[in-house]
Amino acid sequence: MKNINPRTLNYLLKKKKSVKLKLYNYTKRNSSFLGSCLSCLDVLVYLYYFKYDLTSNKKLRSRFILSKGHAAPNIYSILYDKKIISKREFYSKAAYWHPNKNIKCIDFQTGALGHGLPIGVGMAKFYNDKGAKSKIIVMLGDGELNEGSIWESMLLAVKWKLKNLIIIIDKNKFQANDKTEKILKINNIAKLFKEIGFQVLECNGHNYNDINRKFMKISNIKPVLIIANTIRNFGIKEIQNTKAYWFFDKSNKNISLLN
Amino acid sequence: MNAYEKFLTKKIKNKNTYILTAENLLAIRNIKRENICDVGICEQNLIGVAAGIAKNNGQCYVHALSNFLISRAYEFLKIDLDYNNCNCVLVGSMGGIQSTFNGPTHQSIDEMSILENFLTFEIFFPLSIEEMVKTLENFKFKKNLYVRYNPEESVKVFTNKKNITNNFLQISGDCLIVSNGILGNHVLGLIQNNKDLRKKFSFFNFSYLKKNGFQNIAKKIFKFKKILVIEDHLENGSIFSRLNQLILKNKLKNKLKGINLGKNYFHTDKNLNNIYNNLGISQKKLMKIKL
Repeated sequence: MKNINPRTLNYLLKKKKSVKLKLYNYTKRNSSFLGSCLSCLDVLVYLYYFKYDLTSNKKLRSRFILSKGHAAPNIYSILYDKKIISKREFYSKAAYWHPNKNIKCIDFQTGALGHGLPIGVGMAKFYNDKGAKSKIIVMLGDGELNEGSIWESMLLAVKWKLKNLIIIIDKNKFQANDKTEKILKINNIAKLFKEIGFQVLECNGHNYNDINRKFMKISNIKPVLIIANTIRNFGIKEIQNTKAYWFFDKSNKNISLLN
Repeated sequence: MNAYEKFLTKKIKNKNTYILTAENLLAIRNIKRENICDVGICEQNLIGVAAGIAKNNGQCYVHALSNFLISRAYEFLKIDLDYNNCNCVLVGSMGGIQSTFNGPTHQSIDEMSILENFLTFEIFFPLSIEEMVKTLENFKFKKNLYVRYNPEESVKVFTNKKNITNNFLQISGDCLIVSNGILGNHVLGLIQNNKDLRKKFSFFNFSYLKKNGFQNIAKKIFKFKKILVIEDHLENGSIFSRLNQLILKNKLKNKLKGINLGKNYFHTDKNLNNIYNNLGISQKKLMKIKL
């Protein structure tokens, strides 16, 4: 499979930098669940700036549902970077820590974990029945797999052969306060979902070429699950991949790390 | 095929219509299976999936046992349907006394008190399947609608037609019975079939509750000085308790009595007639009631 061409790769890296800066500024002003935001930021930049049309006004465009809602400041940062929302809105009370449906291009209000995938399954069913070519993309956290509703949805996605459904697990190996395997371990997610009936792909969630290679492998004959191996608080050496700093409070003495 | 199934059979010709169920066929047994999206007993996903479809203006008729449709899926109703303004028709089977011998785990006797907290929900306990279909024919999916399914046919109304409105199905006696759903259907039948009861009681069908609509209906009811509310709902959040609050708040002189399921899970029985009797709903007992 081909890599992303160098020009596009440069563009994505530039966009990543710009979005990250906005996310840091947001955190300095509002605090945020920064650990969760930084683990999935690369995948979101890839989706929003390269792979899919997630922001046009087209009626049956592809949809993105952030089921792990606490990474919403990423989306706000992208929408602000794309000039879809204004600076004022970006820093307003409306742009709170979870996706707010009243902000343009937020495709569904989530936040309580375990809701985004059922919604995505419903949307994918509707799109499938209408013969729409676009995709329904749902991002879950690996800790979110604790939720029973996720497993119900997985079964339905396979039952209804939702070939337009892409589920991405942001596998940063942490949930709220500790390592996911310590809280509630799930052995071999990939094997489990293959057996349920998914096409399963696995990528380095911080490497655009690898992300792209795996997206190019999507078969379009059954629902697909992409496990993005990521790192909590990726990019801030002092705090990345630790159980602290899931939530980054603006009053924390280490806020200067974001300068 | 009953009136509701006939209605759905017509509706399904529209490609935007979806019939969803959590493996419950009580209201849709005669609908072709290929026209039903069955999610198994995944009631949370039943609501989530319906919301995903409704978000794209699909029209969903969603079926499950009332208890699992409302209580188990509560958070999904609140966030996915209510907060996200995704509007569906929810049809709950075996609500109220219809759950007969299933025991407390299957009883749904609190829908009004649960759903009144939501901003987009209207609540409908139809007196008959005809009333249900007639209402659904005019439903535009601008709100969410919860329907406590009632398979009963209409009760024939013998009264001066000039007096009949949507709610007042009988105006004769000076004591007003307020009821709804399958219980209301039974009570109306008792009154209609007994000359003395017809003299004693009028009947108000309180089947449809719109958001913030209670006070307007209460005004109509309070035109009667003696009011008897008969309902298969917990007392908390019931029509009786709401009328009572208004009487106390406004220091009204209306006399109010209620027959409802009290403050506990109701006592089950295999036989619906025994449940009616235990609640004190027979021609004899109604004749003796004093207000």
